[in-house]
Amino acid sequence: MKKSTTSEMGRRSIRNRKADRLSSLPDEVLSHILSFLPLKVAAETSILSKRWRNLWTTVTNLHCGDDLSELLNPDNDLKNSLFGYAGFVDRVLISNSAQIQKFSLSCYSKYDPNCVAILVSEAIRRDLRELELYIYTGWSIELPMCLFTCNSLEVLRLHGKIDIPGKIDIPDSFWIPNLKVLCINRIRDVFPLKFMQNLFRCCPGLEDVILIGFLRLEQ
Amino acid sequence: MATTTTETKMLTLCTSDKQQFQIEETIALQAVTIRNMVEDECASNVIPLPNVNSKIMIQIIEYLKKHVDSSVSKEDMEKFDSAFVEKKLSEIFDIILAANYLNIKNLLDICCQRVADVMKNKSPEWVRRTFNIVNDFTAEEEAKIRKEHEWAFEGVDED
Repeated sequence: MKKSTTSEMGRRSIRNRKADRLSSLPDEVLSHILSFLPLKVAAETSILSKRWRNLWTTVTNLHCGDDLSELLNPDNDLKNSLFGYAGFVDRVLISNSAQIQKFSLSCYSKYDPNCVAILVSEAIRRDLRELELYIYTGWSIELPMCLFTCNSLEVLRLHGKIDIPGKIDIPDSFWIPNLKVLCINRIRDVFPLKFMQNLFRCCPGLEDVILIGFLRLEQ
Repeated sequence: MATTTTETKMLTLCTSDKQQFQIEETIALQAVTIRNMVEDECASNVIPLPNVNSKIMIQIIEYLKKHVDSSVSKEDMEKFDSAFVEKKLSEIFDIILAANYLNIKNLLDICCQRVADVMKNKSPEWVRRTFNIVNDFTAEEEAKIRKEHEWAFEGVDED
């Protein structure tokens, strides 16, 4: 990446300094703007200036696209990926105390399902309200058990190769009292029968249920 | 607050440059800040809005008038919204500040989205130039952050 030299930047800014309206917006507005960007792009803003250094870690809507799933690819240079991945979890999901409103993750290429499960679990621990997963690769992900006892979850959208764990016990490990919207779009064709039978009992707040695709129930 | 009257109730909004705008209450109440003022009865006939000037108020009223109209289809509303944010960035910033103060969530969302769209797929250098952001990091500090966020900076294009 090309770098502008400091002296060139300095001269230009003295001669023709225009107001930096963007940086002077309140923190909460900047955080809101960043929430419309994929997480990777939001993280890049940390380099803009000191004002922007940690703003991206306050974003409460996390959109992780395929840019992130590249990092979760076990075939990648592991040192870089793990460092990046650990940094991601650490900066966004652990060091930032903010509640996470929405976590959206799309994977269109190879990724490590364990990493995705960990990310989802971390997001759930942060009073997650909305979870959206798009898994369109050869590998499937099994949803972490903690998802099925998440009190804060209101919206759950699952698209693609996602497994619902067959071992969920009703009702001990399945109780999502505040879930209002459930969308299941062409997820794996085999579905635990127990899950479907108990859906409304275990999610008493459900208002909208959208099922797309052919479901085969597993006894 | 009297909610049962059927006649059109009007509110007067007074902007920072002392211009007065008479608008229907149903239009104005979409702004949560105004709604709270009316509900708390701390506003009498004239609602002072010291953080909004008349130039921006005109645009905000245009937006609110459209959005109160329930006969507009979802598709037409989206078209209106995307045309509405086709403004210079300086104006968008003014509207963002006003929408944030007046608490009009949808308006804040579409304007923040507009700014985010400008930043998307651009290098940090491009973003700095476009928004006049002065890089106040030393070369060492910048290098350190780049290293920390190596994963984020992989494959970023120049512009």
